[in-house]
Amino acid sequence: MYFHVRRVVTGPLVVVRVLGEIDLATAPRFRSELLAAGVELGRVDDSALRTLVVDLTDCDLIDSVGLGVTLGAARRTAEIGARFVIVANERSRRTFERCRLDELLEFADSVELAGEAVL
Amino acid sequence: MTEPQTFELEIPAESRFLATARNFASDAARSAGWLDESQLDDVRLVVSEAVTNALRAQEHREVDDLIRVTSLVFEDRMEILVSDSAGGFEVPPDAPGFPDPDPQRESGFGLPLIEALSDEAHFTRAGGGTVVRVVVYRVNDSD
Repeated sequence: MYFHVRRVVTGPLVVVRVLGEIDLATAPRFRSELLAAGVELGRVDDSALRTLVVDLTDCDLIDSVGLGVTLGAARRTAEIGARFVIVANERSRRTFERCRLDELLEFADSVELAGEAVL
Repeated sequence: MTEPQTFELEIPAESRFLATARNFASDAARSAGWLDESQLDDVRLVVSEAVTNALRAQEHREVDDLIRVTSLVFEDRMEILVSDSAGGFEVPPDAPGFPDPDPQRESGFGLPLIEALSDEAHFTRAGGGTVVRVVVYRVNDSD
């Protein structure tokens, strides 16, 4: 199974980009990358601009475990007063919508647009 | 009524075989001529959720038996059965319903997803475990 996750810091944006499938097997790596991203977010100087972006543009599948991990990261990000934005392709977004999580989470059409509000 | 095309798979009770189960189910549908990519995505995810449930149930009971996935592809629908050997003591009620969105909730999306992704979902005790049977009707993809 293909799974790769990487983290890029661009100014006040910390972007966690996932390639492949998030499931019970790969969710722990997704989670630990999001935890590391939270630490990086804490180092952003201008706390008002802190934004964590989860980029699922190249995510082929996110399962219920992945949804839970995402919600956990969103909660922790809110607790430090930062923004949490998801950039999802159509198939990933549909999974969030099926669980009505689109009502709780902020989505953007691209990483650039996710950052636009702050940059 | 024509006989369904039947496909069977047994996987070790390890999460790294989830992708195998997903590929198995979508390949079965594809080989029967299912073309709608978003429906194939749904099939992959619903199988993944059912097998994840089985893995967790068996892990909880420290059972490492193989998990069986059976795909029956009919003219108008696909039935997928996932059987575990976890004792079958935790059969959830049919139609557990959708939870209201709650930012504090970080788990429990599996069963609602199974319900949402399938046209029917049944959980029954059988043998030494649980059988999850999901039915997905084929969308019109002949155009």
